[in-house]
Amino acid sequence: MRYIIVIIFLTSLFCSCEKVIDYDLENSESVIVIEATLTDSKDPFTVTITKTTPYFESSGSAQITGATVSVKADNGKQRYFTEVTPGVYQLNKVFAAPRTWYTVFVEYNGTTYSARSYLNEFVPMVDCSLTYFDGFGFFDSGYKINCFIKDPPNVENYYQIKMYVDGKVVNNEGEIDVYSDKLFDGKVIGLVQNSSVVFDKDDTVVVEVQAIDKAAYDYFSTLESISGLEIVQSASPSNPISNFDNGALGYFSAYSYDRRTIIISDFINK
Amino acid sequence: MLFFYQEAFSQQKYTISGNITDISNGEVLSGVIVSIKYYNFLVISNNYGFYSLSIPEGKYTICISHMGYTKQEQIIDIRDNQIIDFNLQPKSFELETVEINGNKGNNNITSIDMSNVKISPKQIENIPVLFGERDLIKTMQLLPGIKQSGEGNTGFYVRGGGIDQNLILLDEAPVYNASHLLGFFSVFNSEAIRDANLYKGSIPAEYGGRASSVLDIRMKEGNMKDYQTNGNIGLIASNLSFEGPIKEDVSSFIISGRRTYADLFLQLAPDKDIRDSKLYFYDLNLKTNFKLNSTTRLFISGYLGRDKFRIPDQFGFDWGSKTATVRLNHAFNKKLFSNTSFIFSNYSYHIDISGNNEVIMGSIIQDFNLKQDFSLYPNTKNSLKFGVNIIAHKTVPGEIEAAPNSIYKSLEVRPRRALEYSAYLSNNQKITTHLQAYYGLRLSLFTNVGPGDFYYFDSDGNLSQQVSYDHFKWIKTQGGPEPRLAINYQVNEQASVKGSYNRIYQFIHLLSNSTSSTPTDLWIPSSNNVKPQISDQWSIGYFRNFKQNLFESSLEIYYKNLKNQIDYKNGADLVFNSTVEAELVFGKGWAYGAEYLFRKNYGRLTGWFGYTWSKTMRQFDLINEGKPFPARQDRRHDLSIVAQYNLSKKLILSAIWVYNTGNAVTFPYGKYVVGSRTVGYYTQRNGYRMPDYHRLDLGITWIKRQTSKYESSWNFSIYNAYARENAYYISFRQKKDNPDQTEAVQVSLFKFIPSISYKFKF
Repeated sequence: MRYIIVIIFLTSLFCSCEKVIDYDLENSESVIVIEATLTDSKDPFTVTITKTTPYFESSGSAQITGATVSVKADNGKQRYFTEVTPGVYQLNKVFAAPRTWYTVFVEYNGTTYSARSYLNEFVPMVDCSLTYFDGFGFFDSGYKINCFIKDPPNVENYYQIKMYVDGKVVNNEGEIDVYSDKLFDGKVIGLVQNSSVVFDKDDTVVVEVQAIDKAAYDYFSTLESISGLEIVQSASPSNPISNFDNGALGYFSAYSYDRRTIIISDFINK
Repeated sequence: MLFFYQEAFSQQKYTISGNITDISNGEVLSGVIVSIKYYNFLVISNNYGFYSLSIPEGKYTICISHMGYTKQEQIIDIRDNQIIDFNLQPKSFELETVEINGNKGNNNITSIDMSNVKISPKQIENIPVLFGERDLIKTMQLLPGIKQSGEGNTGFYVRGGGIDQNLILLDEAPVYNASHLLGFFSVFNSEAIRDANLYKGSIPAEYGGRASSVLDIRMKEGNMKDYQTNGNIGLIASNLSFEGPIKEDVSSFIISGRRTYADLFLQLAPDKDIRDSKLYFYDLNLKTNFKLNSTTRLFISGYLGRDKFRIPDQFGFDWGSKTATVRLNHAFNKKLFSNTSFIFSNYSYHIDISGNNEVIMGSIIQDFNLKQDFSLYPNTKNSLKFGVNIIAHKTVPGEIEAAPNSIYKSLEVRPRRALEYSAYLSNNQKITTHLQAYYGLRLSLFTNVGPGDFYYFDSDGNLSQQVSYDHFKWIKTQGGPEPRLAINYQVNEQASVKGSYNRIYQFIHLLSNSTSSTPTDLWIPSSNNVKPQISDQWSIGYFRNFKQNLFESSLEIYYKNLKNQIDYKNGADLVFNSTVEAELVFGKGWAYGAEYLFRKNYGRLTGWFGYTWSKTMRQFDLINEGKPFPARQDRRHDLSIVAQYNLSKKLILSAIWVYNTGNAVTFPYGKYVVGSRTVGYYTQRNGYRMPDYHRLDLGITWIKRQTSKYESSWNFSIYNAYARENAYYISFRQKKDNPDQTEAVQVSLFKFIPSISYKFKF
């Protein structure tokens, strides 16, 4: 909800002050964290496996190596991943067919963790537009990008937008742009950039609209609710809803996507 | 024989009754003690200033005493039923010397009331406040058992209950969201309020519908004699009231308004968008009353308040309440008093998503309420109350109105309708001179009524059936009897022991996961899927006064049991979701604690010391692996000291010091990385504690001028005088310069906030 803006505006009025403090946090036993993605294009299927670490320790060495990772389409055969760098497992030269359920299996220390995800059909971007945001309070001014898609009618659809500059994802801390078609089913939807990132007229931005499934949407929206603007965080945070079983953290998302490259100055000149 | 003769003779009783008013403005006075000197007869005037007393034939001295008014005594010769009205003289502001011999009133000892706090704006007028804005609720939070929900916030928890478990009534109308500006101000403009009564426990049978407490606020009625203007100019808001007679001693009115003007400063901003932005709230209170004849009186009152926020072409948001009450008081005879009320209450919010009214989202909760109450005073030993009440609720959980060309679809989650109806009967009986008992029973029922859609879910929470019901179709009825009991054993003039038990059903519930009440809070009614909340509370207390009631003290212990508590699943979709009931989880709660209050009401130095020890737990099968966990408001120690010192006739000093141990919070037990983001790993709900909180506020009031007609005074306050950095929240984040590392960050609000306000009356 955008009344977040109201809250930020108000608290900034009350001259809040911020400082780093020492707070003693307890450490629980480590838990496995799995991030698995596959797409309908040429990208390798990738699974990253790490574990939780004590909160104030460096998170550098949390990779889990030596796991057995595989994927299986509902009507296909099981294919195994190879570990390319510590904790990162990939499967190359495979293509995923849309409208199919996929299951990822991770076997580690005698336990098998699995998750299912549905690969939705590709939803093309029909248009992109640029709006100039004037800035407000301590939000920067600059350009924001809106993407338009034609939502397939009578089915639930979920989307995620990612924006890249120089091959790197740009977002402010904690922000995730996920959308549900709940209020817009079957319409041409403008996916308004929620993130507070703004672009400069010299930027070249790659915009990616992913068609994700409900499990991924639930994961990312609950992930967003525990990160980001602290003041609007849930008062009783809990772990994001994972589609993995056996207590693993993380998610498995099969998605299709459409990309466009936007040269901001070209857009302005148009 | 002689004995029987005397008995028969002494049973020849007569009733005296009447109204008690303030002589200066004709306003009725409630809670006035009417007693008979040298006898143990005592009654208290009701909310409409009416009293009734039955005594045997004879000559008596009747005493009328009320805090802030000159005590009155009158010799009466009772030979038949009589109507005697009293007009009390308010004490002009003066240095009260300590009257050693004067009876200061031991009402706290003799009355059956316990777990009860009464405050009038006059009593709090000189204590230090934030931004120069006096607030009844913030003062109440300084008393034992009532906890503030967050820094500077008007939300409150009573004895381990939730924020939605407080029944907040403004002239009998329920107020669903009592806060402005995200809780930093309450909707109650002190200039328009006559008094407020908060029941933490021992809740009388005439109240029902919320599990933990009742805050009964009454608006001023308006001066019956003279026109009068009151105002208060503060840093953030100002208010102005005008009151006076429509016809002297027959009818009067009061109109009171308040508005914040933080947005006027926005005009100074260089940025045009900020200049055109809006950010304010206002309140409007109106009340008028007519004495139709000597036994009948009509009151009409209303409240309208709204917060508005708008950034042009970006976003608009407004929310607020409306209430209206029409009330008819009638004394049928000297023993039977009736009050009939028709009440309307509405809370709504609108969000304008684009800032140009193209798409409006909103939600409404609305009540129509009809109430009939009777008070019967058959003799001096008994006072009965009975009545009926029916409320028609309508909730519109969410709707979207979209312009035809909008990308949004218009949508309406079908409203829910329900009837809440109840009947009660209670008696306060003086059994012996030392023992009195209160016993009452309230029957509360709640029925979902058509038209509406109802949903049935299987054990996994999947929708199995949807049924649409027609108009006036009765769908599901829940509720039951609520016993209300209290006892007072008076040990002597200075000490008593009291105990109480009450059960209350709550049929409408607030779904909120934030620390304060937010404008988009969602209220849902009980239904086939949502059982009513039930609370049972037991309390015992020892009340002891010292030095002819110069000092009051009390120690109370309570235990509260809460059934059918509501929370929701992680990631629950609460907005525009017609099957929101599938997202809920149900559990139970319990709370216990001890409260100590020591108070000095008279003399140059007045104030109180309050301390609470408490524990508040919740248990849900689907939260925290089914293990009990402390509720957010679980706080072990709470201490407050409030003092006011009259330095001279012109200068009053005041100070507040509060200390409490931290609320329960959920913090991580580890971390991991998703994408490039560090995420906390959570295991236990509310397993950590916020740091201790303490704060000192100082105030000084300078009375510039005071005559019977004119008054003006300045108030200077400093909130958080020693600039303690209390944690408003603590968050955990990646270090900016090294994302592998994490740190804890504390944010505090309100460090040393001075404010000034000017108050006038003419």
